[in-house]
Amino acid sequence: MSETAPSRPPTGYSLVLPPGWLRLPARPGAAEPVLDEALDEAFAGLPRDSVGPLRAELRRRALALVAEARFADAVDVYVPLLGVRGRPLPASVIVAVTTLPDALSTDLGTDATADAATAGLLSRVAANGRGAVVTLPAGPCARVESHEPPRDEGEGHGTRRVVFHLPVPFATQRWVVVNCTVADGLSPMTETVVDLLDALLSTWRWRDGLVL
Amino acid sequence: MKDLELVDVDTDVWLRAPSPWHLQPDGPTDEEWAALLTDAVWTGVEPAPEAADRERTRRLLLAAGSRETPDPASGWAWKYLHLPAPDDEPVPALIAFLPPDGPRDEVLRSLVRANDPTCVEPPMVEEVETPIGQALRALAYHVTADANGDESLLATLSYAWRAEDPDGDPSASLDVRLWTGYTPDRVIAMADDVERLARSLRWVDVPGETAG
Repeated sequence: MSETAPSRPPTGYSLVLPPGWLRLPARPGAAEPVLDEALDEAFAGLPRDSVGPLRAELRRRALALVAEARFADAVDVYVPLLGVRGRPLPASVIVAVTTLPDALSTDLGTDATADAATAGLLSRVAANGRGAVVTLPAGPCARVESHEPPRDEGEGHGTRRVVFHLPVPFATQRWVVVNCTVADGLSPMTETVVDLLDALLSTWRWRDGLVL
Repeated sequence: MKDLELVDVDTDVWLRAPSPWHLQPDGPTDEEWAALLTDAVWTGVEPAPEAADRERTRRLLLAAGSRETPDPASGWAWKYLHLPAPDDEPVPALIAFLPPDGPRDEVLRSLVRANDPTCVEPPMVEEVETPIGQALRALAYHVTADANGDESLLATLSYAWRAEDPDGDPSASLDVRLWTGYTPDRVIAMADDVERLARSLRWVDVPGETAG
């Protein structure tokens, strides 16, 4: 995998993960072998009787997240697998690709107008979500942070959601949407994990070699 | 006359490791220290550990607590190992004392890596109140590569003080740095314990010495 040439759309990306985090491809059937291999490695040598329930619960949760992400056109899901003492950080990252409707990209004739239109769209996306346009090393993006109330009593204080909207360079209608969630109400941990997710997105690089 | 000490450190989660600057000719070697601490941390634990568990603890304590790691030339004076449970991985927190050299804010920002270009994004720097005065605190994320070139996102949590001598002797003032670095998940999980360790730093009377 190499860094993409600067004049054509990249076909993939990379992120530098914290140790213990796992990338699960969202396409059907692709996550299970990756997850099982990681769990086998993590629990190698430990008695199956004592770690079996924890392993089964981690597997169930991760695959449920992948299944949910697939409905949102996700390509990848990132999860902290074991965390500390078997308690993962309450966070996840879902990477999806979206194609803008033609109506939003009809005026993207030249590079100059495309850049201006993309900048305008970023501002609108950020403003609609009361977020901001931020510049990552990989380029500009709209960063929108929100709180979602708990869906049921078991969800504690709800969810902090941070969504990064990244226009794919030289592909005016294609955007990547990175949807990060953290359990809310765990101050100051929630803010610290949000900071970690910002740091994670700072390692985003456009690449060739993976299919978006 | 006063000196800086860590007072009332929570010994349920922190172990003091040998210091490169306090060598005692008849004191324990690093290997002997690791064996003694292994016995101590497993005492009273039920069910009793297997021999392999004890050997793992001894090996990890020896690696993390060695007087040679990191290189003493880097200036650290004290090392505490974060070990909240005997089967955890011990994570070192280091403390260095430096003669004040330059404007306070500039020096302390440098000590917490506020402007370190290897960080993936500028760390969030906060002023925090402690018993020896205001400290700077920062959680920084940086990318490191292993011998195979595989990259990981790691975290460093740092505190820095300009500790003014309470007796008013400017020549007795010190710049102090306390820091720990490991996987982001672990550093976030241990942040409260590091905060308490930082707040246990106090000026204490030196026995047999008087001010003036």
